[in-house]
Amino acid sequence: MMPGPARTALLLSLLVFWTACGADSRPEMIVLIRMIDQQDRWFRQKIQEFGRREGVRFHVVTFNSISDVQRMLELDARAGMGRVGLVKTHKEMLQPLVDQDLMLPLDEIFGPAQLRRDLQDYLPVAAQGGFLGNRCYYLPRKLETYTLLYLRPRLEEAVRGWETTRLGIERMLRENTVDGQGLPEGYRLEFDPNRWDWHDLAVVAHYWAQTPYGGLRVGRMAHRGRNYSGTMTELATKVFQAGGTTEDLLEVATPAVYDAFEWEAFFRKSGLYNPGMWEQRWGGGGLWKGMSNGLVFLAFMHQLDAFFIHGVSELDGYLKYPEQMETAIMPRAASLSGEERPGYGHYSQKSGWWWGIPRSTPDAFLSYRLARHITSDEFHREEVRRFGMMPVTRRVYDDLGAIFAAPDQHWMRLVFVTARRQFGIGLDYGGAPVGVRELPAHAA
Amino acid sequence: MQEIWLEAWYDIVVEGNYSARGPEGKVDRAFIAERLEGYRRRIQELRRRSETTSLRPPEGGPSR
Repeated sequence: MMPGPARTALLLSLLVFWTACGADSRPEMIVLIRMIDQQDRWFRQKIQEFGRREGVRFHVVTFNSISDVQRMLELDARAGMGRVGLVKTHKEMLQPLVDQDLMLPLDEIFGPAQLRRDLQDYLPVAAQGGFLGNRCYYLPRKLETYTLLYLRPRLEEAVRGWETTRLGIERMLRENTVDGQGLPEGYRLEFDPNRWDWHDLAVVAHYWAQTPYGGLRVGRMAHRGRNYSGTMTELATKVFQAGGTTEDLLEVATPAVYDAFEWEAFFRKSGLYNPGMWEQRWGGGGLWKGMSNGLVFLAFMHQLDAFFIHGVSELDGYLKYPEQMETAIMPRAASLSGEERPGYGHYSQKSGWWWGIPRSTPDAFLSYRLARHITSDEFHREEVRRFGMMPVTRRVYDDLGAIFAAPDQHWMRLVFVTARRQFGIGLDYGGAPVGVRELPAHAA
Repeated sequence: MQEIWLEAWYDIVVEGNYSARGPEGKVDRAFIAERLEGYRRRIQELRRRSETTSLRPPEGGPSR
């Protein structure tokens, strides 16, 4: 996090910038965003096009940390400037900004009937996120959820060869745990990772850890281990897979949390995780590099991670052979003791970004029109295609096949097919529930 | 809340403090539950101090 003085300096510089924005006679509005560089440039250009049509000067300002937004809006409102008209808001900040009465309920702008009609354009799973306390404060921007990401040839090697290491993983499951019973009776490793559970993860991770790749025997499964929200999300998804909910994350002393910690400790003790997770405190970028240098074969990734790892036309990826990258829905929990508890499923975590309009906006009608414009089919389709965003509107979502129709874009379509399954909108697998669950708002 | 969770993960999983009960150092669900108890109390204290909804999940929303 940026140190206090630096942050204060940033906010002060923004204040100076805002007050200096008065040379043009056109109405002005600030849009607060945070995006990757290429997307930032594209977005600014598109916003200016809209501004020219509307006769408005838009100033696009980038924030560094999602929590900065609250202070920026407070500053804007307190100084009586009211220049910020639209804010790209992370899921973690949706509730805190409403709690501080900084955001405008959208039904106050064009009325509840119009809002209801407009919300029909968005996927219900995305529109729901904008509702707090039964009022809608935000329009969806993009969804994201962790899914399994792996290298297909390494997975196939494990599926073909795991029987040769079966005794080893059976022994680990029995000897490294007090309650361990080994693999379930009649166990076989599923070829389709969409059907996997935690035993399957253990089996493939054990095969990889026992097999020298580049002369090195080391765990090749990994997740984030840095001291940040990404690691919290990784742990939360495991609790969800074990049948837990947000309440389990808050209660802690629950069977789903015990399941998650028990398996985490087993993976760690058995050398199935790559130690870079904690020794180098890997975040998302550490995992990308781990995949790049052959240390990681399987991890849990957002859709945007997949685009960075694979690479797209304007962005080099991290893999020598990107066509080897594939995704699947998250694995289901399993029981080390053989006493399976109810509720296990292929769950992940729902996250994403929404557009919010500050109470202090200079023009609520313009703010709303802008939010609708940048989530319109044409705008949204182009942004999804260029930057690999998980779409939030029904028509773009249903049109993914056409958006990624080119043969070299087939992998992109598959990333979203997996995401669609993970959100529970697509196919179920193996009789177990599939879906996403909520982290506590502002878990940080 | 996040800091407490990550501390628990580092303590129990990374540092291997699940193994303190016996010489074999086996992963022990009962001992993990004991170790988590201290973290549970800290989160409950945090929840008690937090009068706002900052630790609660969003509620409401349209039906599907």
